[in-house]
Amino acid sequence: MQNNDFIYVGLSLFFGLLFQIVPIAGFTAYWRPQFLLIITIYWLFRNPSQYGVGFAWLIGITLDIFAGEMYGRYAIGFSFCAYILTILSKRLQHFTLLHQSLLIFFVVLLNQILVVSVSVLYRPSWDFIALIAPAITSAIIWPILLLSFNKICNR
Amino acid sequence: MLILIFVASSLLLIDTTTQWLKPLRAVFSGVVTPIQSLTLFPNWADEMISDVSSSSSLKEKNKLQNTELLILKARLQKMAELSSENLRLRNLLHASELLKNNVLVAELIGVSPDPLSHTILINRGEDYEVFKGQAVLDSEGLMGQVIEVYKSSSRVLLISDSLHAMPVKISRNDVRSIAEGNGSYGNLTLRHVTSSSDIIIGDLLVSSGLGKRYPAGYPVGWITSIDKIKGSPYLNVNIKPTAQLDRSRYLLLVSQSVEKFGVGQDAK
Repeated sequence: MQNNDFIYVGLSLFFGLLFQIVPIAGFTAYWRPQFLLIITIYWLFRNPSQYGVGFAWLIGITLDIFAGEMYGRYAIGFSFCAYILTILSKRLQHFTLLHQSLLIFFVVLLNQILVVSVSVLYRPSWDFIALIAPAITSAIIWPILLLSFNKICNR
Repeated sequence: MLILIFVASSLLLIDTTTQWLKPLRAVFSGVVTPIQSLTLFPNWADEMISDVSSSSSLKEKNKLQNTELLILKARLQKMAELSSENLRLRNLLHASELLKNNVLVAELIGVSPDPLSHTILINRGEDYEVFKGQAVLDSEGLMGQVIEVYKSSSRVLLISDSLHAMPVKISRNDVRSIAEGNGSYGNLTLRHVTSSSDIIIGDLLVSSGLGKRYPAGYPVGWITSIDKIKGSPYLNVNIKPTAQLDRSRYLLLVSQSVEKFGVGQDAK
């Protein structure tokens, strides 16, 4: 099971990364869910003893490398979110799907706030929609992702 | 946790203030480029499907392209005459050199995952002698400039990025100004245009070549609105870029080479 898990983790993160970096034109790009972050969160939920803040940091820095400017900002965002989730991990087991979605909304929002506020130090423009849009779409996509991943991994 | 945040923050600080991470980026580009190219899979699939097309549609396409070619050739004839005339006039003025632009076709392979940053990745790098600061065009106008060159790819900053500003002039009367990006693909703004300057809606802005970064004379955008702000000596001028900044897939990299024309060289 453990070995299988690694394959699933690797594959899911790889595809998450692809979805995260696939070129989207113009305004739609704002609404792209934070695929990589919610897949990381899924593994944190599933196995909190094995995947923690360090894991999220590594995924974050990988996304930084692909984003290509300002190494470290996604690492900060991801590890902050992971930290909050590991603190809450005991309680999260009892959340309903709707509550989890709501939580995902706030976690992704936190990530966006961190990432955007870091980038504002360097680039003068920012947009409110860049904070809120990925959080909404991520929260919508979370139940689908959770249920399908559970189905695949529990086979 | 704290250590990780500290490491990330210091990385951030080093990356934004110094050039120390440059070799690291070059190393990572070897990994990033192939994976980034994988995301073009929908395009490949599309191309493969369109490869298998009926002969009638191919014939139609061929016909269309032939007419287009004919029109372009006709324009080129006129262009040839104009450029030779230009050359003769330049010689009369004792202008010693003429800039010739060489182009290299590149394909877009990636867009920054952060919608606030308008940078793209293209599939030409050091192997094609791409250099930092090289101008990038699409078929309609200026798109941006190369900011980082890797082995087989390079990163381009678009003119709409809020970090970008470029010298432009109005093609109608050569009034100079600076066009700044503001983070939206369909809009640039002009900096410090006084309310007395001769500028009207619909004017075409072209690159002026003054920054020594962009070659002169390439279209940048059309002026779409001019607003007066109360209490400010400057106008608020908006431009719509001619290039399709968020759609173009095939781009042109321009490099200039100088063609010398001696004064004594006779233009016949």
